[in-house]
Amino acid sequence: MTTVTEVIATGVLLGLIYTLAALGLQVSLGVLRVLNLAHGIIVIAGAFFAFDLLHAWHITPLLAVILALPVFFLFGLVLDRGLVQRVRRVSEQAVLLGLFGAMILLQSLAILTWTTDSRSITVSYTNSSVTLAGVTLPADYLVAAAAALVILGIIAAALRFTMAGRAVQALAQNPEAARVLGVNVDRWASIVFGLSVAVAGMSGVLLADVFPFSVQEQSQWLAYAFIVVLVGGTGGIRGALVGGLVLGLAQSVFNQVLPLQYVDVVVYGLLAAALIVRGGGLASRRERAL
Amino acid sequence: MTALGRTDETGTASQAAGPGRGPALFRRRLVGMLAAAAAVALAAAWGSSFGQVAAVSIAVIVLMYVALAGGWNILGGYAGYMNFGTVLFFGVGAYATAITSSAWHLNPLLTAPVAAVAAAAAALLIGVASLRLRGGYFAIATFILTLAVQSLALVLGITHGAQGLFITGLGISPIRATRVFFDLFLALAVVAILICWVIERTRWYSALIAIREDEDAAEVLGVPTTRYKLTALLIGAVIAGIAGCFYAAQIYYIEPVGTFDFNISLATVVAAVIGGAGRWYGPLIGAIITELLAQELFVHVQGVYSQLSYGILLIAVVLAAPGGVAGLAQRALRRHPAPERPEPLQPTAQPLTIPATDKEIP
Repeated sequence: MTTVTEVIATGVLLGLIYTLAALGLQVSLGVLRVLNLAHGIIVIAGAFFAFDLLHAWHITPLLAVILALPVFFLFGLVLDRGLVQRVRRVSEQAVLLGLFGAMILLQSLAILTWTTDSRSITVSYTNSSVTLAGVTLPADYLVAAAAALVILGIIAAALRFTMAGRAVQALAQNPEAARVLGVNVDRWASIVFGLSVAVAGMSGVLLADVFPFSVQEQSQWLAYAFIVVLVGGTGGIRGALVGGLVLGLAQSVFNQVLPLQYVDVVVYGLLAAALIVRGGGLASRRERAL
Repeated sequence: MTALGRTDETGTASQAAGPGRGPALFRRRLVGMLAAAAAVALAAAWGSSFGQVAAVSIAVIVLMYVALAGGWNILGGYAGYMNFGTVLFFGVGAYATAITSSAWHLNPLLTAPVAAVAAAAAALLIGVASLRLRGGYFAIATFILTLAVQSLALVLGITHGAQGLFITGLGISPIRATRVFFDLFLALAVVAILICWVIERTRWYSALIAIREDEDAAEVLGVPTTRYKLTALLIGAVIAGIAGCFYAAQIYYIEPVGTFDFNISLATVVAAVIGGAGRWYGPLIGAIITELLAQELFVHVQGVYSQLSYGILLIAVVLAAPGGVAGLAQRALRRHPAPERPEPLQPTAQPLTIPATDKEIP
């Protein structure tokens, strides 16, 4: 019998995972004003990265998270230099279409590499549970959420306390002023985009711990990330946390009170509600500050 | 099919307008219109009588995407709002046909108006909610709303969930049916292209372009942006809804996964962009190229390779030829400036005077 506390605790854990999974999309949108439509497929690529490392070299997902950072950062840099920086010079529509093309291209390459089968990862803590102060929680949720929290904490600290973090904040608030004050805007834009892709890939590794995954589910992860951004706004990690926790709690509660097939309908209903409520207020200057 | 491409003539006729060329302009327009009508008549004759059935059935798919991409072009091409959810309206139309034709024991084709109204209602609901969002947000919202409607169709009682719905057949032989659907989709494609052609000759076109170039400025100048965007979405949705009705009548059976297939939205966007978004003949060229390519790849390798090539083509077009094939052709010909870029005002040394004339302005 699941208690109310357990439902809420599970929702919070889910929320932390969703926050990390959406952070990449939110950062590229908030800082660079680039809506990365390839976000979902990058998250799924992270999950397959974990799967392949585990099965080829028995590398545990927790180590794979760290390995994913340089790999996906490099991939992000390539994507930025090869496509994003170029289409940004053309027009807003070109950015969308270019990244849409990237999403389709990456998805079909992923299907050719990994097929459309659903996979899941089994590690020592899968299917076990931990009881903390009378509340029983699934161990895999706990591990993934803890790792997500650590990564979120590191990013928040880096943004706040390092010179690089301040440059990124300047870039988010006013790219022109940042340029005048000596921030190499193009270079930092590449680094930010690379980091946003890296975070997306790392979140994919953590997701693989918790959920089964397949290539075509990338659209679902893009949708979830967008819901988080829509609910929480583009105003930095705090906003992402709000959006992620709302989505996690909503899903955890609806999982208890609704038949399984209705959960998706309600989650997408949440999107519709967020759309109507927030409407034009999105991405206004006020919300762009990190 | 290529015969339809000859209708290009009419598109350039208005560019030739100049002083004293009234009769010549009229003649060129007339010739263009006659050529277009002749091409359509020829295509109709080919499809409904002597064309090979295999070729006609491929042409049916091409024409469906000409119609869908033409409808997409109004909001996506002119106003610059990328709709990644064409299949939503297509699917709503298909379901409206399936539900009403079995409930009222009607020929499914007679429910086309119902499909159109249902798609328009869906567009109104979605447009009011999402058209306040700018550019990218609108694009991704349409993408996700497609998933929402699909998951709704999977659980609702009226759609029979994953079991899907059967549609009564037309009671004619499959070969006859292929020819009938060729004519229907041809008519829809002609209407869609004609709507784009007419729009390009109205003030409304300038307003949509203004929205694409700078929406804030357009609004300040008095363009009712939200209403115009909504109307553009509505027209595209109605065309997609009717296409969905035809589709449902053609395949007899629909279910959520195949009917709300995201690949239909994808193929629509790719056709319009590769052909040349924002030009009335762009969707026509694009749909022919992309669907014939997809057909070849599907027959010879695997379906996933058509997605792969769509992705590569999209990136290549965006980076190398933002105007699509139509833009490339125009650049090669040079003679015909794009209709969306009006000629810049020439600075004149003399003060501007209006000569007195009794001539009527054509």
